[in-house]
Amino acid sequence: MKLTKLGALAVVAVLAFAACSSTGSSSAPAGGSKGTVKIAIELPLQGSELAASQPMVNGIRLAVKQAGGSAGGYTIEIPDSAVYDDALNGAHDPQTGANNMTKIVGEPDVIAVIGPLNSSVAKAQIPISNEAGLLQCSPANTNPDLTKGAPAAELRTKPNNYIRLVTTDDVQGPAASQYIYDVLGKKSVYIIDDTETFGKGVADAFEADFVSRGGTVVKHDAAPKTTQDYVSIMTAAKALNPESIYFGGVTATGGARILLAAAQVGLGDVPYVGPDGINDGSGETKDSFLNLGADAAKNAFSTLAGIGDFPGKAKFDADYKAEYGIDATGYAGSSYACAQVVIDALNRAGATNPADMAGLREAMRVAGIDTAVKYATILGELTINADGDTSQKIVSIYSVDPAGANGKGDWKFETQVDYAQ
Amino acid sequence: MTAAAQRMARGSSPSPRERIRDFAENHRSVTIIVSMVIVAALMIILPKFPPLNAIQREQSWFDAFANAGVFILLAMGLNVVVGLAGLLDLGYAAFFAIGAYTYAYSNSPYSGTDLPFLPMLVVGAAVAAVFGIALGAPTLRLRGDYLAIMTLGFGEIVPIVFLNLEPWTEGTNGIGGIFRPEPLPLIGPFSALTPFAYFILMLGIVTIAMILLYRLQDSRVGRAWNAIREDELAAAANGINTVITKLLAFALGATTAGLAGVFSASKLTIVSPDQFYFTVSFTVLAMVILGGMGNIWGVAAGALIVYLIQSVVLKQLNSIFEIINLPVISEINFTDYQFLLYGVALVLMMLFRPEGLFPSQRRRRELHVAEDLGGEPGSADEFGASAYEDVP
Amino acid sequence: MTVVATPTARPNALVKGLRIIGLALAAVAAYLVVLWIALYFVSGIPLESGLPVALQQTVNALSIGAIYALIALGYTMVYGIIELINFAHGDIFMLGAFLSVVFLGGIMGQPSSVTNVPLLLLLLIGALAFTMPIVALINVGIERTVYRPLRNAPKLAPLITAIGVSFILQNVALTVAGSGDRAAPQVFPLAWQIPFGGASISVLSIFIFTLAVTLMLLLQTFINRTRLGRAMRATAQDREAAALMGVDANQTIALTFLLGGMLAAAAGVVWGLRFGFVRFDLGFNSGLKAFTAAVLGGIGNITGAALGGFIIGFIENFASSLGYSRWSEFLVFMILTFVLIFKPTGIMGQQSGDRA
Repeated sequence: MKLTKLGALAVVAVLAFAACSSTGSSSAPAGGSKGTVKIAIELPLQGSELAASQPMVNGIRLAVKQAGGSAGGYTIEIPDSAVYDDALNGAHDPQTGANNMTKIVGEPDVIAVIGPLNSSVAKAQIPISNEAGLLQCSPANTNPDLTKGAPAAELRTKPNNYIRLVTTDDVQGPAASQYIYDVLGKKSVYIIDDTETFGKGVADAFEADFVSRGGTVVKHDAAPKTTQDYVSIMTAAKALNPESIYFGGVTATGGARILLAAAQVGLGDVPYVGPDGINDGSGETKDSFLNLGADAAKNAFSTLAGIGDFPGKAKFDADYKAEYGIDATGYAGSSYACAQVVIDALNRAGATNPADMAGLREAMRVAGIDTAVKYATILGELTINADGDTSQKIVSIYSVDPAGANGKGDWKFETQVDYAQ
Repeated sequence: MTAAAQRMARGSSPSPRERIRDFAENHRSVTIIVSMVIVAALMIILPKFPPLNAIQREQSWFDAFANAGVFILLAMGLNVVVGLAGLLDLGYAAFFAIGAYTYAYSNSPYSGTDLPFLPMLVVGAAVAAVFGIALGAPTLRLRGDYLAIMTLGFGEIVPIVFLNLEPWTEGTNGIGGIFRPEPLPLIGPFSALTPFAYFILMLGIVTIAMILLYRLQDSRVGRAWNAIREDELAAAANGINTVITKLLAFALGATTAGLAGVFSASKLTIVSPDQFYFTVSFTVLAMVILGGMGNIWGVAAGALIVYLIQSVVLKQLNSIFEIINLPVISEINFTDYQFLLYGVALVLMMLFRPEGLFPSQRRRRELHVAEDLGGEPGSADEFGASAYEDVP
Repeated sequence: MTVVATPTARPNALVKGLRIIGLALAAVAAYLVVLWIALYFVSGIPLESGLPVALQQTVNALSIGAIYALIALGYTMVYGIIELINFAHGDIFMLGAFLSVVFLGGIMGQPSSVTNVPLLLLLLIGALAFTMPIVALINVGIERTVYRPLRNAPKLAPLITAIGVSFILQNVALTVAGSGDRAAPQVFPLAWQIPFGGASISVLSIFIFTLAVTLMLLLQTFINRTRLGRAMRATAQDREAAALMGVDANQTIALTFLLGGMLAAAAGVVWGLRFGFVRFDLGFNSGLKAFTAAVLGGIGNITGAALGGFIIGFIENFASSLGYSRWSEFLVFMILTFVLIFKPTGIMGQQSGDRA
């Protein structure tokens, strides 16, 4: 009985504190006369994914700041309570993401949400944000099923509310395939994916394209992230003598482990190519692909489902560094752009003078998915098509510069391919 | 000996508390319904006021309660297997998965069919029960530890199968776009924006499940479960068919998991293998242990508390300590430590209070038998009766 | 009625040893041939080039099998003596791996291979000398604080507690080291390879196998020839009778955990050297497989555990070699299921107590 009493006391204390602390403090608006609105951010903020998510949060906040913190007559706020974490036990969790989205749509003054990072989380969230008619912009989801075709239609019961500023894996995979086949000149490849939504999707897209070009896929293997002995798998791969290796997945699900195993069995000299999942920072960034791969990563290449060399890059890098003291990495740029799109939409939505927050939300949605609008973002000029995809179908290819980042290795921009033609 | 008989033996007159207890034992279903109505009223009213409405909005509370309900069902089901029958099942999430996928196969664009929800609840529960028997059958001859490992193995195998058999299960992408339940009378339509509807539905399911489980516990089957838990050999010697009893435990335990699975699939609208790994089984086990093995409403309360801690309290601690700036504690992100907390709680509970927070009298006496036999005086239960007097 | 006992010549240790070695070589050769043929039919690798591959994979199998065997020994010893499945044992192995990374990383800095043989030997011995005592002491500490009070409790309690301890260890590692992989310094040069029949066998694999077998032989000797070992066997067989004979049960059990911890730590060191990474959840998966190995070989039986470890290693390797690595966990669990249903006493039978 004592234990329960103690426990009850603790719970009461927690609740009492909670009552005193007011969450979602709405301070007096400054600059926006019509009131305050919030932009919610939904990303995995734990463990190894924090390295990818933190630059995104930074990029969004920078954009809002540089826009003066207001648009369309409203003050924009992103309090800490509007930043949601969909990670459970160190990694992104679709169920947690869905729960977060339910909370987000329940907040009346949230007029848009930026996120998530992972396509599997988006799959669980889109039905919810779609029913609520809340504008959602993802700077990082690349799975084509989120916007294209029958799977996408299944997620939506109402008109579309979801847009994204990166291109999709049905472009990212082929971009890598084209690079390996044409530029690197390798005609055979060993593919291994991590059995997850993103990894398998991009690996399948890669395979289809590579085969259609005339290349040979010696084997398409799958190893879930719980696999530990990659050496046996890569020994089997070596036996098939591939000229290159393609990995579908992210660092956390085995990108670096497979690289190390490949090097160990004698495949260290063949090009090792992966999607944006391994392009997560320099050799100095903790837990990143280059950090774990070290020397073995010298022959690695990665793609980014977005524009690597964009018009506003120099200024953005400088501003970001000035604001946060570190270099902009990963999806910081596309997150900034998402925020820009949201702010632009707010300007237009505010001009229609909606009667209440619900009306504003709907106006935001309509404004955000408007296919006629040309957005001038730091990524360049882009439009959103009817599915919610960006007109920019640019995939950037990166190689490894061993001398970068104080000798620890960094990704070096090689080229970008525009599939919009 | 029942509590009433005990008192008669003692010759004392019943206190009000004991009177209520007697009434509860004799009129189970009514008590459950009345209690659930009270609980429902509390759950509806309390979020309207501080401090609860300062933590999150009312609708978010309903959503949290509905989600907690899934775990309550799981905990009650696992309680049957672990708490009542004494079979340590570490792969309980497998039945949850089966219930969820059953609903996904019948109510999604993947299969193209859209069947009515309430019958699907029954179907999902039935399918899970069948698998309960199927997965329980090989374990019949095994003793506690081996049983645990084997069930753990099954708990791992089921999601792996769903993951790898991609042509039939959509693999890692899972089956999405699952149709929500059709609008029900008195409850209204179901959508992402109506957590209240799901909450009421879950209340109904939990109430019915509780009634069913209490009936079972009070029946011959329930007594058989107690018997095989305490001493299987003696039970068999007394004519109890251990095979049927154990299979029933697995089947009925799986039933509530099936219910939970169907509900979860219809709410989340997507099922994928990563929702059903060992962490889920472990969480439910922690809930059962913390709540009080063998006590149905105890594990329900335990599950609710643990879930709320996980989804609300930990996050709240984060925001509280952001405001109160303490040197070390403010740096901690409490949500990172969820599973650490479960592990520590489990160990502490097992060491100091294995009967759980809300124990059933019987279990408490069972688990402290060593102390009792060692002659430690004063191990009296809450009604003042000493354990010694109970020895027939 | 008299029974005439015909004196049979007791095979001496040498003959026994040779017999075992012969059997082992035959088993390995059999695996080699089966894999070679399977590679041809399943993966389409022509027979000429398939043999070196099969050879390579066999060596891989021996390496991973050795690691599983070392971990399995801990499971089997603890179960034999207190009938507890120590769920946390896999995480003890993970701790050993992390500590090895700390040690080698602390000395060597950036992960790199060391070609200077004396220095390398020093490092290896240092890593083992650093990790084994610490992990062993942690293991003993856990037993003392958590398992001992529950020794007489109903079976469910220590089992559940062990699960709790497992999660605690995992989350401590998660907190300290993060959720991603940690690079492990592979100081043993991977470039040292011995060409053999078209394939190249890494000296590291030979080292791993030798280390594992040596440790297992030392353990076997300890248990069979020393007084403390005899105490362990006695306590495993009948704790009360052993106590009557003057064996201190607490001490003996602590010793069991100590030895199990040391072996797991050695496995951890070896893991880092071979695979180059460690993760907080390393213990969970490896632990399950190692436990399956222990059950497969006969829980409570030391030789059985070692044998089981190698068998599981070979099975896993077989699946990976043919490209079915995503089914390897499934395979291991199915084996566990079948063994538990049809022969719960395992291949070599159990050594003590009553079972299912």
